[in-house]
Amino acid sequence: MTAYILRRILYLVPTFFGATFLAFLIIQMAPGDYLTQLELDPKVTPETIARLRNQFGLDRPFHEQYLLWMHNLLHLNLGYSFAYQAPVLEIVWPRVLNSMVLVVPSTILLFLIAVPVGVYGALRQYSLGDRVVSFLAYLGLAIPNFFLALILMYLVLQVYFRTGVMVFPVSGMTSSGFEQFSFWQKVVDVAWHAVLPILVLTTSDIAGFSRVMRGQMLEVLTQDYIRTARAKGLAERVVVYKHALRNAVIPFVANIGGILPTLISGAGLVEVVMAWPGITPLLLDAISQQDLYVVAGFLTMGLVLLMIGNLLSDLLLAWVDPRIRYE
Amino acid sequence: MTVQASSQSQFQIALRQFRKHPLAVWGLRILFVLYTVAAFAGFFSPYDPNYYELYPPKGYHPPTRIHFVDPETGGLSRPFVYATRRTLDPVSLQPKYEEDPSQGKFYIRFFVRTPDQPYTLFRVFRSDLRLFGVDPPARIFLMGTDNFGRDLFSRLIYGAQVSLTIGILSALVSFVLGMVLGGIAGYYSGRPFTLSLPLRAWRGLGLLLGPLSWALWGGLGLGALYLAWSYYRLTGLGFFQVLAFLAAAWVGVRLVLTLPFRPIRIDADDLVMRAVEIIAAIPTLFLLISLRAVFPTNVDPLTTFYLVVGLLGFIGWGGLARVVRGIVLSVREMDYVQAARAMGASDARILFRHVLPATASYVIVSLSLTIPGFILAESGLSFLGLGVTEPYTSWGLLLQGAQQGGFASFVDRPWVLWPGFFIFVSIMAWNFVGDGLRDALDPRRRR
Repeated sequence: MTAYILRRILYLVPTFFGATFLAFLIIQMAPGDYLTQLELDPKVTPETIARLRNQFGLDRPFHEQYLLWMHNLLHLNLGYSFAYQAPVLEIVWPRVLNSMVLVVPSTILLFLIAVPVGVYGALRQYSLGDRVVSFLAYLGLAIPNFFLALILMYLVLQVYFRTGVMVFPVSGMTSSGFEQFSFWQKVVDVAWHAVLPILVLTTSDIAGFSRVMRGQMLEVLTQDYIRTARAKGLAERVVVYKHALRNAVIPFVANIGGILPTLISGAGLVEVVMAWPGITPLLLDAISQQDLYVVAGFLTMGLVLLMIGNLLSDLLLAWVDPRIRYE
Repeated sequence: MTVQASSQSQFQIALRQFRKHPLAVWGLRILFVLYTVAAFAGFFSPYDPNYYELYPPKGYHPPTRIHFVDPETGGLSRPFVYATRRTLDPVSLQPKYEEDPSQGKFYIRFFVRTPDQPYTLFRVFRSDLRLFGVDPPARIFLMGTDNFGRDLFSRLIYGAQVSLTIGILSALVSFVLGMVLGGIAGYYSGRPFTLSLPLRAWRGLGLLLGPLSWALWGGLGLGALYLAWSYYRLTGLGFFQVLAFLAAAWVGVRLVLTLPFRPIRIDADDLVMRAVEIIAAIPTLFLLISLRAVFPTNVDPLTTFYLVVGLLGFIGWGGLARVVRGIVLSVREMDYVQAARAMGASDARILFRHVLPATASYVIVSLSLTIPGFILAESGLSFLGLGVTEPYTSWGLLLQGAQQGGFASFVDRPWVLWPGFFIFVSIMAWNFVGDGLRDALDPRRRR
């Protein structure tokens, strides 16, 4: 087992260098650099541009930029944002935390809702409830996140115009005057703002997740050991929850590690549509401005978490599933 | 191979199973309608998608109301519309449109000709025949207009051409990449390719290829050394620099010890799977947008279209390759493959004639289930303004109109949300079809 873990970690090294290199290369391959925009400004002299380019290290050859960046990275320094004139971590981390306000509750809700729904669908296959839930799952799968966000915003605003009551805020993360709030007021305010985006996020995920859960459960219920369990007269409750469910959730346990990187990679276009100050809008800006180290730094953070997550998944899988043995 | 008259072919069984899946059949019907309308876009759209009027302007015209009741007699009548009058709201300065019955009723007519707005079908047939329309000065905007006053319904139909084909084309790109790379990875797994020639093999063609391979590998070793050296030059001496030197030296020593005596072999499986891993490691949305940023944004629209297709396809091949590899790994051990090899078939023939077809049913299902994913990705990309560009349009790009100008853009003008509805319907239909195909082609799921 130890040898297996060590080998896995060793395998991670080329993937890590490969992926950071690829990310770095892609950003660098875009025509121009961060200062190209500035060159269009007639008030900025070419000398200033040249000085800045030298200062940012953008005049160095590509491999030297990568080496310097990697050197800083090995010293746990993600680099410096051109646009914000601040270390990348200071820029990215608060935004990641904002995104987590959406992603963490949505992930928890996902597990709390999708697993029971999937189990129900499998136990009462083709019943009315199963059909309704399946159909809703199809709806959830098919609706683009940003479109669902727009629809919900529209409905909430319509209610507001009809009755004057703002059920949920439709954009941003805080109300005006947020700074003067007490701690608990702040928490409530943010939570209130987070309801709609969390709803949007969870809907689409539940759909896919519960479908897979249902499929897993159906698969397990046809196994021989379930028939054996029934044959020896176990209560249906024991058969379902002790024998079937435990085996059906194995793939999800195995994927728990995969959640780690999604925790920091943000809520996607929902953040853009609902003006949530999360990581997605920041990163989209950084990509379009070619704020090199913000993008590369963020991707690296995600990458490291992904690798840790995958490793964790494998270990967890070996732990929950006794059929798996690593020699 | 002959099929006995009494038994059913695989295709017939699958077809019968597919028909048992009512949602899948409905999905197929919906897709048929959507793709037909998109193919004959000119005929089904009442106006040219880029046509707008300068005077009087028709920007943000709400959907035209269609009347079925004659106001004079109170009885049912042929459907008709009224011409509209434009006024400006004195407070918000937004245009408002009111029906103007004084100009009389304009009946909706079918199979009308619009000589001022001809169109071309399939880039070949010119025509100006349209399914329906009304006489000017009245207009029929089934779903209102955009900021320029272009008919949203017509734009939606033309946008369908892009949105619906981009899914299929991207799926084909990722299909080719995934099949070929996954097939090679699986088929040659454990049988590494020889990528250098030792001294004793420098005969015949080896006399040419040998030094060439040495030069390449030597270049690689020197490159590693150069990197380590420039790292040292840039940052001075430290723990990591020593590590880098050691790594480079290790590569160099390994090369010197290996090159003259043993061939260097690399397993294609490792290579492809590492590549899949690396691509999967970067979040899709960001990878897509970063890659899009590599290419200039001001290229002509058709190139942008193919660019988006290529990017989506490039991002999507990993999952398919992984599964194809898995299937190929088990299929290549089967007796019929051994038989083909024993009869002297070449690797390429075995791979493409005998092994890859075995993955067909899985691949068909996975294709039909990735197409909606690509439609979704394209709409997201276009929604951000990074996808297809004017004069082409797509549902995502049209939906972008709902984001311009704050909340007013879709609270006062809810009809700009229509394209989202069509994205939704087409994705759902594809999902139904994909699920139906999966159930039909998987013997274990038959009922």
